[in-house]
Amino acid sequence: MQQFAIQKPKSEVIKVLLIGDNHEDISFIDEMLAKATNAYFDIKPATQLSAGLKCLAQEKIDIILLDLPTSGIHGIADFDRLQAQAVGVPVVVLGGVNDEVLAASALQKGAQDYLIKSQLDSNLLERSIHYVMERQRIQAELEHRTHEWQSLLYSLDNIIKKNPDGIIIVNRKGIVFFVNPVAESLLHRRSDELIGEMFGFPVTSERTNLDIIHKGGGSSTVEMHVVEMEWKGEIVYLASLRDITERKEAQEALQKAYSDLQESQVQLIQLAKMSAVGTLVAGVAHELNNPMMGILNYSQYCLKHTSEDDKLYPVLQDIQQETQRCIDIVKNLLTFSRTEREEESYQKKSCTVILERVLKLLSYRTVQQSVTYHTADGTPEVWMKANGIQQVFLNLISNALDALDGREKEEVHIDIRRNGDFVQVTISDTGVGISPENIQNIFDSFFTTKPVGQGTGLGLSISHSIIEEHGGEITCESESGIGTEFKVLLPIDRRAKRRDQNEKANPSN
Amino acid sequence: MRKQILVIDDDKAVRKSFLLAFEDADYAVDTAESGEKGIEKVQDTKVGLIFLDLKMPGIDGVETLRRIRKLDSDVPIYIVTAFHKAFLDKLGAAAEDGLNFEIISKPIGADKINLLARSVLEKPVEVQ
Repeated sequence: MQQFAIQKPKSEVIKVLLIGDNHEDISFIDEMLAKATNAYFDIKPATQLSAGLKCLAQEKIDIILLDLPTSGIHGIADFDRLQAQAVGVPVVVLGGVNDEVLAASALQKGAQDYLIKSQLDSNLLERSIHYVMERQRIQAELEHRTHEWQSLLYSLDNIIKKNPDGIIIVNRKGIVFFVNPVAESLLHRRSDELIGEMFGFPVTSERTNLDIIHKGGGSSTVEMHVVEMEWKGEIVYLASLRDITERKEAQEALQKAYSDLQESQVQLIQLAKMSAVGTLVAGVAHELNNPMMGILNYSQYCLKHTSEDDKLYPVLQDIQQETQRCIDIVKNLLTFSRTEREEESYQKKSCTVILERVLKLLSYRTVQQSVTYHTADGTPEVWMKANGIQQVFLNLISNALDALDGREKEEVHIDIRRNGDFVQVTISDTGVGISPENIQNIFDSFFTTKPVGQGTGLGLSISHSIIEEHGGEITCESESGIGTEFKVLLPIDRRAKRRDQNEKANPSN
Repeated sequence: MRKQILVIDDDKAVRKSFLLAFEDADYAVDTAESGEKGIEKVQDTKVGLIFLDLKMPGIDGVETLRRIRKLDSDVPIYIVTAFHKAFLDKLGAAAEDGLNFEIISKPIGADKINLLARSVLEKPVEVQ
């Protein structure tokens, strides 16, 4: 088997360029190669270097045999000329014992073998030629492969550098091994600040968002995907980073737009509902006015013609009183349906003046309870529908007084001050407070926690719509068992008017 | 001669309320259940005070007001209303046209009715 593997088919033709001027030597080599068993050698003799170079230029030569003493090569420069012409063609140098110095230089310069002619035989020469050619082939292959690897490495390096996503490699302890330039810019840190240092973010297999704080201020959001891989025999994490700041902002904007839309839809539905209820209520209320005027006057007439001693007298008084109550309820309903209020015009008025008027109206109730108020210096007047605002104050303060019933500390305090472009009226009480489950409903129509007959469930709803109409804001904070605080913000200028014509005013700016 | 008061209202309860309220007062109180009938009465008699409803079948209160003002530009007219928006707009237009009138809020009780009538009809006579 071994024997067979070494033996090549005789059909292989190896073109040999033999450079040398010694006829004896040439025929000697010729004979030796003719005895070769594994290949057929086609020998092209060239007596001088120049002829050899010419031959190289004309045909494809597999190997050059250089008879150094007779080749016309006298120095290494001549050998270089040959090498330059014979790229990829192996050279075997033949020479005598005396030629060793030059031969050594030739070997250094790329000659593949050096054979001493006196020791040469057919086998040695043939084997040398085969080995030399094989070595040449392997060398060429190696060069080719090396070149391929280099260009592959270059491409990979380019891919990593030019990849629009950042790439970072972190080991299990969180120490950074590698970053590409995009990762540097995404993380706002240079590679020398990263490599060998702790990454500082938890690296998990889940998709995570990193909040990057920039050195010069500002921040961005980077999305990170992580896969496990092996790096220099160690299990590490390969993280891919992508700037999603814009996407996140767009998403948030979209989310906000969506919830705004939902909210305005809810508001629209609520508005439509209220408008329908309002129309119904207004219609009913108007229809009730005439019969109530009848009952009122009939009972007054009867009272006038009944002796105060008569047992009918107090009953008639009750009729008159209850009728008056009906009239008040209907009036409230009409306010709620907005018909009455719309007729009032805006004027500059002081909240304190309105408050004092309300406190006078409520004076019959505020004997035991302590009601105090304070107006900060320089609080300006407000464009308002005075009757509307009076009703709001009346509702809020009546509610506050109601909440004090049976409390140890019975106090209501009203504070009036300027707050930016608004006047802020704060009404706080030490009452029972509103439970968390109720507080979200307090501005809803017909929502009441008061006993039957003591509340219509319209007071806060009406107050809310009056304040909204003014372009203001009404909010409530309450703690069960501690007390309640209502804050009313009224715009100082006439934005309420503008709001009717334009869009909804934003009280926060 | 007793001063003449005219109540124009399609609702019997309202007309009757005025009649009962004025029972003991020294006024001649007449009523009309429509704008048309009210105008006829203004044509026939000298009226010192008119209470006028807004929402009525046939010609409404605002139209009645316009026609009465053509006959008598001075007689005090009190529009008795529950502030119904549709009519208030028309009333506003009438006011802009220079027609004079007052507004009182419905419902209204006997005391207020009498107080109002007295204040209109019993002004102190100016000394010439």
